Amino acid sequence: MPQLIGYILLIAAYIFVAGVAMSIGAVFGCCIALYNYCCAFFNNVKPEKI
Amino acid sequence: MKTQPAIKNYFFGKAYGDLKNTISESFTRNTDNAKDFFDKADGATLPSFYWGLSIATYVFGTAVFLFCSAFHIVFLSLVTIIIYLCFSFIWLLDAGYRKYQKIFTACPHCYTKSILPVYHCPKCNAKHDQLWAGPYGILQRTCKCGEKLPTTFFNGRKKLTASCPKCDKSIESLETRPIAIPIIGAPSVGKTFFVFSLVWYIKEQFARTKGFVFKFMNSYNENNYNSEISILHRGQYLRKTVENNPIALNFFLTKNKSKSLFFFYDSAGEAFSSTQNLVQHKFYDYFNGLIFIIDPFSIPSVYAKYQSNLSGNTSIKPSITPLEDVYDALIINLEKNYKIKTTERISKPVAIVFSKVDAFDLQNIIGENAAQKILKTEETVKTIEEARREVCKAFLKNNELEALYRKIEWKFGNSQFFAVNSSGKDSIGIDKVANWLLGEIDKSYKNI
Repeated sequence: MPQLIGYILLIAAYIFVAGVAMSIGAVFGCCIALYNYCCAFFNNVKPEKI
Repeated sequence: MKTQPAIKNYFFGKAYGDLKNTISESFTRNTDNAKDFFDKADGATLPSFYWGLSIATYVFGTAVFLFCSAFHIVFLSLVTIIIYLCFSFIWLLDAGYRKYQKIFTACPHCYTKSILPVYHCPKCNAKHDQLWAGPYGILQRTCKCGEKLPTTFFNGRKKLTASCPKCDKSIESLETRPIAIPIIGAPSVGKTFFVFSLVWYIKEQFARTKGFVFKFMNSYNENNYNSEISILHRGQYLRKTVENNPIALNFFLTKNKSKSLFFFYDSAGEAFSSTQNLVQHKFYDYFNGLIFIIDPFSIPSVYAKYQSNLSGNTSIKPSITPLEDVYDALIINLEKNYKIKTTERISKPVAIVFSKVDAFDLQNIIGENAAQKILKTEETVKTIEEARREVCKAFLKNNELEALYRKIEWKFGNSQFFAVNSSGKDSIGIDKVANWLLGEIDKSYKNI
C-alpha cells in the first residue's frame, strides 16, 4: 500500500513538473510569437513616404 | 481613377501590402527562433530544455501568430470599411452637390465640357485632373511635393488655379453653374451690338433691380466690355467679329447662395455659312438657351421696300445672307453633331430677335407699338407675348417666310419673338429678351 502511494505521488510529481514546464513553455512561446509579430508589424506598417 | 501626381491613401493600397509583409515576416521569425532552439540542443548539457523551447515556440508561437494575424486582418478590414464609407459619403456629397447645382466646367476658349477642370498644385504646379474624394485622399490629398490639396467643394478646392483639360488654358469658373447662350445670326445682323447691349442691361438694370451681384469673370472680359460699350455709347460701330470660334463673354451673377457664370458666345456670322464651321462649337452640347438674331433687311422683300432709304442711310448695314441658310446650318449642326433627331423638338428657350427695329417704320410693323396695337384690337390675343409673336409671324408671312416661321415654331418648342434695337443704354426691347430668356433658363430669375 505505501508503495502504491509512493508511485501515485511520483506520477503526480511528474505531471506537476510537466505541467509547470508546459506552462512556462507556453508563456515563452506566446511571448516570442507576440514579440515577433510586433517587430514584423513595426518593420512593415509605415505610411508612404514623400 | 487615372494615376494622379499624389500619394495614395494608406488604406487604398499600401495597407494590404503591409499586412501581407507583416504576416510573412512574423511567421518567418517564429520558425527561425524555433529552429535556433532546436539547433542549440546539439551538444547542450540539457538538450531536452531546448527541445521544449523549440516545440513551445512552434506550437504556442504559431497559435499566437494565427491569433495576431486574424486580429490584424479583422481590425484592418473594420478600419478600411469605415474609411470606404467615409470616402463614399464624401464622393457622393461632392458629386451630388455638383449634379444638384448643375455645376460642370465649360472652357470659354475651346468649349470643352468637363466634370471639373484640371487643378494645379500651388507649390509645384503639378496637374491634378481628378481632384475629388478617391484613393488619393478623402477630404484632401497630398501632392507628390508634399502640399495638401482640398478635394471637395466645401473646403476650398475651387480656389486653386485651374485649367482646361483639353486646351490647357486658364479656367476661372470657380465651380459655378454655367449658363451658356450662343448668339446665332448671319454677318451684319447686329450680334455683337446685341450681346454688349444685353450685358449692359443685365449689369446695370437687371442685376441692380433684382438684387444680384454682377461681376466679370476676369479683367479680359471686363476690359473688353468696357471698351466695346463705350464705343457703342458714343454711337460708333463696333469692330466686326472675325473669330469663328470666339472666346466667350463671361460674368458671374450672384445672389445669396445662387451663383451662375454666364457664357455668351458671339461667333462671326460667317461661321453660320457652313455646318463645317460649327463643328468646333461644342457649346451646342450644353447650351441653356439660344438667341437667334434676324436682320429684317436680310429678307429680300423688306430690303426691296426700303432700298431707296437704305442707300442714303450709312448707319444701317443690311445683312445679305439669306435667313433660311443660317437657320438650316444651325439645325443641321444640331442634328449632325449633337444627336438631336430630325423629328425632335428643342425644348430649351430660344429667343428669336429681330434687330434694327428703330429703322424707318419697323417699330410700327414688328416693334412694341405693333404688338400693343394687336393686343388692344385682337380679342384672341391675350398677352403681350402672344402679341409680339403675332406681329412677327405676320411680318414673316407677309414677306414670304411663313414656311420658315412654321419650321422655327415647330423645332423650337419654347420660343419667343422680340424686336430690338441694340445701342447700349438706349436700346429698345433688350430688357424683354433678357427677362424672358433668363426667366425661362432659371425660374429663380423670373420670380424675384
